[in-house]
Amino acid sequence: MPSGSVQAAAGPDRRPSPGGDRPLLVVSGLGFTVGGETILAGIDFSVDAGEFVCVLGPSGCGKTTLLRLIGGLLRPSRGEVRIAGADPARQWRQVAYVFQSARLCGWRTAAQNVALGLELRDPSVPRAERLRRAEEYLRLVQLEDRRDRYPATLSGGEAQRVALARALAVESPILLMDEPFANLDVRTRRHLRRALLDVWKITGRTILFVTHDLDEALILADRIIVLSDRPTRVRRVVTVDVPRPRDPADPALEPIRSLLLADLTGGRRAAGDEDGAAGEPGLTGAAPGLPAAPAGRGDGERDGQP
Amino acid sequence: MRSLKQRLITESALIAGLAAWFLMSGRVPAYVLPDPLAVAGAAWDLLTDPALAVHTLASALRVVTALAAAMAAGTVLVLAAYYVPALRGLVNERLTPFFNAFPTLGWAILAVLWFGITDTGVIFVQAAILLPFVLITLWEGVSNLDAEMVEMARSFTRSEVRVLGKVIAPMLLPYAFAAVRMSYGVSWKIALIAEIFGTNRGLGYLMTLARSNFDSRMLFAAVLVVIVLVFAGDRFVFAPIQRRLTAWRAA
Ligand SMILES: Nc1ncnc2c1ncn2[C@@H]1O[C@H](COP(=O)(O)OP(=O)(O)O)[C@@H](O)[C@H]1O
Ligand SMILES: [Mg+2]
Repeated sequence: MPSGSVQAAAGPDRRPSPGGDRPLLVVSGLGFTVGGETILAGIDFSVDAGEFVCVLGPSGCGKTTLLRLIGGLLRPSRGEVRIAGADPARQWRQVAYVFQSARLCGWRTAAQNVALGLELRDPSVPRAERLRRAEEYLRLVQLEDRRDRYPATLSGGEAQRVALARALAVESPILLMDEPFANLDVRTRRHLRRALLDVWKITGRTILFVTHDLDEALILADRIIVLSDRPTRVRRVVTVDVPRPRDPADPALEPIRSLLLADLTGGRRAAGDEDGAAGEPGLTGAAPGLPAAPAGRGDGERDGQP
Repeated sequence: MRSLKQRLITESALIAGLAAWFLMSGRVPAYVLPDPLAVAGAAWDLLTDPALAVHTLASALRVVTALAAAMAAGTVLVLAAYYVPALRGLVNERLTPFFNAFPTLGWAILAVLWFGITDTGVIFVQAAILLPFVLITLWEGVSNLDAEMVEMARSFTRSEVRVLGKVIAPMLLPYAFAAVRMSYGVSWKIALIAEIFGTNRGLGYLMTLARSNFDSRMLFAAVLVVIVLVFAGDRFVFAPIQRRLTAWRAA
């Protein structure tokens, strides 16, 4: 029932057939230089409507910067971003963010925090409608019983779910998520990943999810865009064609894992490098920004059993 | 909650002070130390007798007006410095130290020269003295603004007005309130000095009269009224508002 109404509110064409129309989001030749240092050196990729795409890259490679550029919070030094064919400066209504920290207003209850995005974006939505939608999306992230609680009394996972509900409630087609689960403990993280996949299936939003955790990308993504160290380029794009829910221990993920692990550890690899980036200087240095666990298991979790 | 012991010390100091005053006043002439009961009676008159209460009311109105004027000017200047970085040096390194250093007596005399014996002059003096407190406190709030929260707000809208109203202003509110609370006390402290020079109404004016008539009872009564008003305002107006504003912290 709640999910049904969300679906209706989210619009009719939220789950287009994969590879249908032209991509919803196109990033081409995107470069960003600040203080003489080139952080992004020319990024190209695109995302189709309804897709769940993970951007995987070492810490400090410019993932947050990339999301800021896509949302129009920063101007690119080179190249461009197109959202539904237009500049993000004009298409800002098409995107909503979930950040690494929940960024909730301490003086607002959970429901009021969910309504904040709507208040900021569209003051013409009447108060009653805002609150109705806030409750609807709180229900979607299973926090309806926390609606009158202040953030100080919420757990980290609950706060991040409120932030997710706030981003969903503005009903923009694209969700930009910047390592939203990185600050949470292993169990909460696992729970929230599953919750996010459920929400994605129900609402049909397009999700661009940034992470430095290889296993997280493997569990979540339709496609994974692997970034290099700075100056950052796209190292590889892989499609993860394994049905969900996925278990990180699933042998079907193993080939992709070892491929990406080599990318992330900066190993110079010959085999299977479609984009030829491995030969580039600056991409080969090991160590900085390695994913946490040496085995590449992230938090060593098992996610498959529902 | 405060312990009984703490409470006992607090109140016994007050009682001891009053007792000492009472005993002393019997031994010295009334113009040196008037009888506390007589002072209390005069203070009551200052609050209730219409002929005297107009003076109390005049001072109170000036205090409130000056406070509002200083808050308004301070808010405009601090927000201008926040939104226009080019103005930051001017506001924080020139205006604030200038107003902070300017002597009270200097403002009081200048106000008479510029405005004559008027309400405007007195309010100007008070506002000029309050302004640096407001500027410093509000700028403290601006420099402690959570940049991540501001970015969150801007990710939802391109309207700076809504970002200011929904996220920045609520984050500055505790600082604004601290500025008001502090300024209220300071404003009363300087109200009487400002009035000595430039007016013919108000508690400061009454005190000038009382001094030339050796009417110590009225002098003490005016001081008592100021103390009571500052104490009551803080205790019964500002403290409850602050508790309400920050209720979410404890919730
Ligand atoms: N506005 C800026 N000014 C200076 N340096 C910046 C700015 N934005 C990002 N950087 C630098 O760019 C690098 C990448 O930052 P970020 O996008 O946060 O990486 P990631 O999210 O992948 O960890 C960091 O080293 C950061 O210091
Ligand atoms: Mg980041």
